[in-house]
Amino acid sequence: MILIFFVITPIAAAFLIGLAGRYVKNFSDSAANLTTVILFAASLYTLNLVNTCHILVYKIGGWLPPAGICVVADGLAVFMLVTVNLISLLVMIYSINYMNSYTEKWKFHALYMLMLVGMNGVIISGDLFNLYVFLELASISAYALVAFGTEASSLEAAFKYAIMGSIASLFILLGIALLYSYTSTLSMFDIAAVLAGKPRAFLINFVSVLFLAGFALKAALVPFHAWLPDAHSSAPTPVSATLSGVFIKTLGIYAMLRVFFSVIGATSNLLLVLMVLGLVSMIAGAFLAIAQNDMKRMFAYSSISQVGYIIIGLGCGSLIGIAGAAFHLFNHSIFKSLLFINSAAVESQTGSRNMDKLSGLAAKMPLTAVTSVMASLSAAGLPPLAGFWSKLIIIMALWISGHYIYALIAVLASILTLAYFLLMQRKIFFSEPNQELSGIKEAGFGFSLASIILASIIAVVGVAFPFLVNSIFVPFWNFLGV
Amino acid sequence: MTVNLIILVCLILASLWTVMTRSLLRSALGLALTSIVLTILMFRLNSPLAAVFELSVCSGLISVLFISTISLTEPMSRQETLKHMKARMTRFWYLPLVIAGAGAALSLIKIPLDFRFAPRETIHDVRQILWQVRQLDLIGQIIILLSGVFGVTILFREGRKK
Repeated sequence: MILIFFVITPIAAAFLIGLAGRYVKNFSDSAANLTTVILFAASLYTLNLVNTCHILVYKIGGWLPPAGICVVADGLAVFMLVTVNLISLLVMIYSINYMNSYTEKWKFHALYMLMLVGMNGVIISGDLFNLYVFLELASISAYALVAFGTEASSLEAAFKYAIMGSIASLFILLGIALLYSYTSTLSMFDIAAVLAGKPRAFLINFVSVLFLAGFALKAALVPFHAWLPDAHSSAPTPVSATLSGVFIKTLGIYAMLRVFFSVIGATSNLLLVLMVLGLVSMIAGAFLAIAQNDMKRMFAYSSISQVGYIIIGLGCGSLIGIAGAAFHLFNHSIFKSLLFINSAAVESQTGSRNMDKLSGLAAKMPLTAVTSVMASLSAAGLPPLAGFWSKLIIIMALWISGHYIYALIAVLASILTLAYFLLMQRKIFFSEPNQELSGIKEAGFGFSLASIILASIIAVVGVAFPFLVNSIFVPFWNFLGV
Repeated sequence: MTVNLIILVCLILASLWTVMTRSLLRSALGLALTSIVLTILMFRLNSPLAAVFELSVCSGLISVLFISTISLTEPMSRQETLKHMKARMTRFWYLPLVIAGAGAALSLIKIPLDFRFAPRETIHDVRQILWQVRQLDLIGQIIILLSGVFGVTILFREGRKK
């Protein structure tokens, strides 16, 4: 029963914000923050439940599959629930300050809640069509949120994103329709059972291609990434942080993982395609990030590169590869959200995101500088921060599965990551101060609180990793049925 | 089969007219026409309920919404319209080829479809499917529609405070 709570609570919040947000001052801030606090607490409670019961299933309306709808949470789903609701909570905290510069803030909060409904729905859905419905809900809210600034660049980015997102949804819907016509059921568990009892038909390979194209577009893997840099750099920063931190991972990677590993079954050819897509994204994202002057655009390309690591980990197909990928997914959510918060803090104080115009901010914004260094080093995979461990696990998985060249390229891409992040640090925080940037101070309380929490997670997870290893690996044994 | 093929060709022609015509109003009418042709196809494929939905919502309600919105806008000059049309043609000239190619490829692949309806004892009629068995989907789709409308309202507001 707790599972349906992850969908109903944000729907109720969006509805209430829509009703009262316009009239009651600060209502939308309070309601959205309270909702994300409740959801994060509920996700921790669910984590505890799944640790004892291994899997939670709730049949909506008491109807059994194949006709009825089930919501399901296993180790992987609950891990995603915790990640998504944690990032949403922190994003809501700092958007208290940040969104003050926009009009009709309540609309932002209402749409954000709807996006959260979509993301939580995708995670717990045990039914393919239901997954599609929630995926569409999250996507439509995201298109509108990208356009929230209503400047020409935001509208153009939102339009581009809407077109490419709709094409992705169409691929996914066509894949679901063909799978339904072949198996006569929409329940993921039943589809897997039906497919296991039949020889692998050509149709399944065709459906795999459709799903791969659809989810790769949602996850912004190269060459399906064209929408992401524009959308991330034009959206309000809380939206960029969510899109980069958890959105592309929930709608792209998690859904891909669920469909390929739990429903259709991952063949060696599919794993090879994932490896190649991951490799190309990892390298292309890193090279494109180096060439950027706009902070948010650089983070967007960096996201493409980091998603490449996650996909290459999945492509190994082994327990250690998938666990490493999921751990990197969590780490990337944390450090990329932190970097976006830092960029929002810098932008709110200086009015610019152009790295060529910013300099010497470390003395004026020490907290932002320190947390940004931590996030950058974690992204580059430097010990003892959290990002080091997840990259290490992915590289180990590649090595164990005999993909030595891929492992080597992953190490080299990590050095590239370090290069562009250090370049950013030198330009923005640790160069000679610019006289035009005098009188700047640390951004508001919301920014500082969210930054400190995220930086602490990076440090604590990194330092305490040897003690946490069981709680990270064990849920995936459940997921893989080991 | 031949009649269905003729209807499919009509569907493509109506869709092409919808996207290629210069006037927005004609484009909206083209969309309604496309929906009507699709409705006929659905009736012929034994899906009367889907056909009724298509006819009432897509060619009825949505056309009314489009036409009333278009009536509130200022039409572009002939030169501007031609300029936009040319730009669209140069940007999307390959789309009909992609669609025709995909159609040809799909017909060559001959996808085996093994569709069976859900057992009779679990589902009695479409109302039960909509309101009871798949209620979460229905709620989700209603929220998608509302989110879409809500999202569009965001485009028509002033973005940043002065």
